[in-house]
Amino acid sequence: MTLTGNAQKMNDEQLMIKYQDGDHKAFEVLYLRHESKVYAYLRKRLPDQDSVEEVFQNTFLKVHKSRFHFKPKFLFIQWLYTVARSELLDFCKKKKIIHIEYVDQGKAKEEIDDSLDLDNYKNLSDKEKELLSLKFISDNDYEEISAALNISQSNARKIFSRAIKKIKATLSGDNND
Amino acid sequence: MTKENKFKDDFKDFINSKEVAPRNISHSIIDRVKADLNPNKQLVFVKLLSLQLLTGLITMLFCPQFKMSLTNNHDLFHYFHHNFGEHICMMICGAIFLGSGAIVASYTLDLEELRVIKKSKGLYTLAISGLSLGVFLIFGAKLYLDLTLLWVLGASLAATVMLAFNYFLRRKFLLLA
Repeated sequence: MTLTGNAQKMNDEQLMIKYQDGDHKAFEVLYLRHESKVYAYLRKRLPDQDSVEEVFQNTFLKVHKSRFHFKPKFLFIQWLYTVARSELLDFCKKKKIIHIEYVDQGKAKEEIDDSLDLDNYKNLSDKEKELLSLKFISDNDYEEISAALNISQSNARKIFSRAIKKIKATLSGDNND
Repeated sequence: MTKENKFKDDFKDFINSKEVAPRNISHSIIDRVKADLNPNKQLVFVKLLSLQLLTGLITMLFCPQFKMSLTNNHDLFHYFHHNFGEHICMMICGAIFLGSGAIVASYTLDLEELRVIKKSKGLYTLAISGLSLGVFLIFGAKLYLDLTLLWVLGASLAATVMLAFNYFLRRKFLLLA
């Protein structure tokens, strides 16, 4: 498959405008630029090759069908990702199969390690540590935090803000406590 | 991990994934899109002609010529004739005949088919107005050069403008949807 040099130099959004105007070469360039991302993304999430190929084809055919819905002020790659993900979820729902959610193992470990670091901040009170732990480790919102610590939501926000300031001060070596 | 973070990580993984899709699938997708974006020109013309035939027949039911009128009420025709004169009346007649067909075609044909008509720069509508005149001759209409030319002008102009305007409206509507 050869591509025209002019189209190669254009960004995705410019190519989408050309594609919306009926230029099939623009689609070809977009396809060749991004097919590997879509294919690999689906391969990691679906159990068998047939399913991957079906969702892959559906994704690009959906892109084609909905090309006029694309607004050039948004990034094409984000739009393509949204289409691919919704096609994946639709497929899994229809076929009643469970797709594999992506987990970045390295990042997950990093987050756990971060939680242990809280003990290193001597200037934090127990309540502040507990609040930060509920906020960042348990992923609770202010409503849940206020209920757990038996304080008002505005108080929880104040404690959180104070704790963050203390951490910042510690990190910048400006700890007066 | 919050939902938002999950999406961010999922998107990051999408961006960083890379695995080329099988060539046969790629070819099938690209070929399908190419065929869809480049509809057969002859087929588009036949479709437009058929729609024009149908709509033209309906407009004939309100036309004083050819004795096809259902209502036998020619007030509108007389109004145009008396107020604008014979020449303008001929242009309006052509505009109604082909313009109505163009409006129906604008919402019946695919956007790609409309694009093919638009790209012909009035050639399709000119050809259809010529064919229509041929049919009128068969049915015993008396054609005079100056009036016929004005009829063709009104018909082609109205059809071209209607097709372009409604194509624009459909594109805008799709963007807003």
